[in-house]
Amino acid sequence: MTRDDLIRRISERNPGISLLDARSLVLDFIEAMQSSIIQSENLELRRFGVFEIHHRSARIARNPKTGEKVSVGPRQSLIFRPGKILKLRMKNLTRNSS
Amino acid sequence: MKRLDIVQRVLQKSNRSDYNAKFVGQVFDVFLEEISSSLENGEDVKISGFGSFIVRKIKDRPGRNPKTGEPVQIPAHHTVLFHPSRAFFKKGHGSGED
Repeated sequence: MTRDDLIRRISERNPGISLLDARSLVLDFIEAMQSSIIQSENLELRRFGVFEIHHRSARIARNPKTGEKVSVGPRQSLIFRPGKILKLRMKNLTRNSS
Repeated sequence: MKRLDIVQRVLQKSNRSDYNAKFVGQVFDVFLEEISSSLENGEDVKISGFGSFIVRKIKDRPGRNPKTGEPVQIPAHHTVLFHPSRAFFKKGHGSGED
């Protein structure tokens, strides 16, 4: 499913929301989620999951091919942890596919 | 940050007198619900400019009860991975790499 499919589905399943309104709302949701994650390094959405920025410190790594040492600067990664409800829902998929 | 922060930001940004927090909140819930149900059905969700939610099957593996140390088999299950889009989140972030 892509962003455009998502917009179409929201409008189709909710008669009160036109395609245009669904579109601008979804774009605004995405933008608000992005700025919240960047600003507060954490976004907690109940029943869905948590987005968090993790900081990784600088380290000396090796080029696996040559064995040469390379320094890797400090970096950040964005992780998503599915919430309890989403995890439970994924169990349905496991059950149905086995 | 939480759901309410997203709702307030979107409400402010949309600048529509016919929207209120309740309505924007309901549409946001619908948005998250569409993503969740797609994942529950085993379908990946790609939101351009934000990232991809990917359904991944995890094989069963041996584990231990952390309290008692008793060995248990962790059954096969499905989980959700999130890969942020590069346009939104860069790993290096200030290190000059990536």
